Amino acid sequence: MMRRIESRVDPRSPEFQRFREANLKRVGEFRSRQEKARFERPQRDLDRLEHHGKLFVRERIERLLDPGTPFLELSSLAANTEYGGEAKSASVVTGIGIVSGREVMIRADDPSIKAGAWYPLTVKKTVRCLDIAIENRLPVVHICDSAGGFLPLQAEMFADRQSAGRIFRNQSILSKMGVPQLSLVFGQCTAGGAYIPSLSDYAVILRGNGGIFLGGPPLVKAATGEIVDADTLGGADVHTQISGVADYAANSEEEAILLGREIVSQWTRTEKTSIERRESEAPLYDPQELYGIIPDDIKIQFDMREVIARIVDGSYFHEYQPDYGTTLVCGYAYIWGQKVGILANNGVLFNDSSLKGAHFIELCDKNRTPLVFLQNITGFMVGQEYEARGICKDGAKFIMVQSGASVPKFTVMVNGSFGAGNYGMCGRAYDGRYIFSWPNHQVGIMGAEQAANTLAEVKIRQLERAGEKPTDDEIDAIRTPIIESYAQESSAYYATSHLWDDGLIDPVDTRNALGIAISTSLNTPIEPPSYGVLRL
Amino acid sequence: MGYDFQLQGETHRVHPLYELDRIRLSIGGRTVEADLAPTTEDGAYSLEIDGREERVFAVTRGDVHFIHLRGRVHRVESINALERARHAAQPSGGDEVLRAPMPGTVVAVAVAEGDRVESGALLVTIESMKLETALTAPHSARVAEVCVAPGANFNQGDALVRLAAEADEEEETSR
Repeated sequence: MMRRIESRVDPRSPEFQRFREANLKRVGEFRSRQEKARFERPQRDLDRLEHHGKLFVRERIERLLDPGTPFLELSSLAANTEYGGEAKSASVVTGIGIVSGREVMIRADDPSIKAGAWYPLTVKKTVRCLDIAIENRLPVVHICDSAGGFLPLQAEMFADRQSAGRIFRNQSILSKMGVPQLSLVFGQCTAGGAYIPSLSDYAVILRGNGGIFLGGPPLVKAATGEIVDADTLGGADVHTQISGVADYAANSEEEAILLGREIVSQWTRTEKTSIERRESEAPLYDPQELYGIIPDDIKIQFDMREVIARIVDGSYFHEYQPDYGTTLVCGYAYIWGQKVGILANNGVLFNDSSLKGAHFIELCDKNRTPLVFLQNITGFMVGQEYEARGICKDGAKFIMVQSGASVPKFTVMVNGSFGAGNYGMCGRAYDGRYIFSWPNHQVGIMGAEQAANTLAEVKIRQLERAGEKPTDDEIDAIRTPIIESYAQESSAYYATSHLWDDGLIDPVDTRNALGIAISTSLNTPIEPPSYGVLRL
Repeated sequence: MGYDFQLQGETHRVHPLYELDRIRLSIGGRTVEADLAPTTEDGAYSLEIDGREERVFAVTRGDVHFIHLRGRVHRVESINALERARHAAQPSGGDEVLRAPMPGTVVAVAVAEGDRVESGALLVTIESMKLETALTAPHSARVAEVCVAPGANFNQGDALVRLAAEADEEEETSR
């Protein structure tokens, strides 16, 4: 039983129209960048695929999925600002879909870019998708078709804790947890890549194109002088008849995919963790109106209840403490029939809003209710009065309780995420199950203007100590480059490029993305609540 | 508790009484036996009241149901009991001082002394912590005093705008 949010938005107002135009432009740009990342390839690369009889990576996934079911692609714009933009989607497609009636994580190499070679961000994206699989007990289907690590950048992806070794570690942990994996070997899996099918519970290898070896023919020749062709060294028949590295041979990608679907249908489905549920219904207010609600200027404040009203079932929302700590809106709602507790920023975090947030998270944790954070936060309040009232320890309580919460957490970056506000509201470091960002989103340790002023101030004082007094032009020369680089590095595209989130989404898709994300999180039992020491 | 519905401007409370194989509805002291089942064709429902059977169509938009019955359309709105209780208990707008929720600077003042404002109307835009916040009228009122000018700095709790209840207007002017 809940009341509906009463929207105060007037879609006929000039402001609404202005915001709508700005956001449609932003979303249009996002869609066009995403379309290019997904499909734009040099013709010669597409020709090469065709010559080898290979399907395009998107086509492989399309055929693997159950017809008519959604696919939640993750980090479609990973690496968009790196490597001159050539590693589209970081050269690997990851996402959650339904195969033979089971929720699975799909990880597919993209051989249309540098023969599927892994860049450092390919590794980061792969490790992340396997982390998601571990946290949410999602079976994984790998479509393997990679030339191996991109050697010019090997130092950035090899030896560190979260580097390539982590892929194979994560695969081993999944197996230990009893979460199955299937590899479809459609190209060569060389060196480290050979471990992906070898560490999978099931592996299908394609005759002809498929190959698995620790060292490919050139390396073997260099190391031992042995001359051997790829098929004899590690082809389908060797591995399915002699070595036992793979389990099934297939003659075409189509056959392999259908066989893969049959294999997945053998896996025992997990039972979902029980949470409060009700029959799902669409929001009363049209999600398209989100475009008219998000301002065209990050400085302009808006009521996050208007956003909630366009994400949750029936626009029903039970608001908790509506008159206390009002800059943080807290309350219960349902998303696709699944009960959640929502924390949404409606301004700066003060002492009272921080305490309210900590309190509400504890309620949800005890109540076994997953948490959704809607971030639009410039930070915690500063100033003498707030320090004296202990804004540091109240913020610490919020962070402590949020970090310790056992229920699954989900974050949507709606507009801005600055300073410690990012921490309290379950930013990347806090192990939320998923983070999705809107294309207008900005993130940084502080705002561009504030950073430029702070740095300019420091520089001016240095000069003054040296007996010089900088002119206005000189001050501008300090400020301008800072503002420019800041603007670039705080953009949603830069953030998603570096995997600070799990992908940009169109605001109207938020409800669907969260619906799938919450559903996957319930494959894992929820641990009992427990917290660290609160500074009271 | 019962369920409240509004039909032609009047609120009706319906108490359902569940029995093994039927539901009885108690409405304003009258009790009827009722049953509703979808029919197999054209989306119509078969409604049975005290043994009489009727064909009805229903379209729902949010809390409003349009019921097509015997050639006429009836608009029935379900009323959230809590919502209604809250509205009924809400005090009418009195004199009020709009105070600064945090320290900051005035960006713009949208009203002048003597203006009449509707509930939700923009009064003052302030800037603090990189954010522009629009402060709006909590209910319809008259602007008694604007205490700040654009560019002014203020502390938390400072008065920004004083509102007077509309009913007090004549009294105010006569002073």
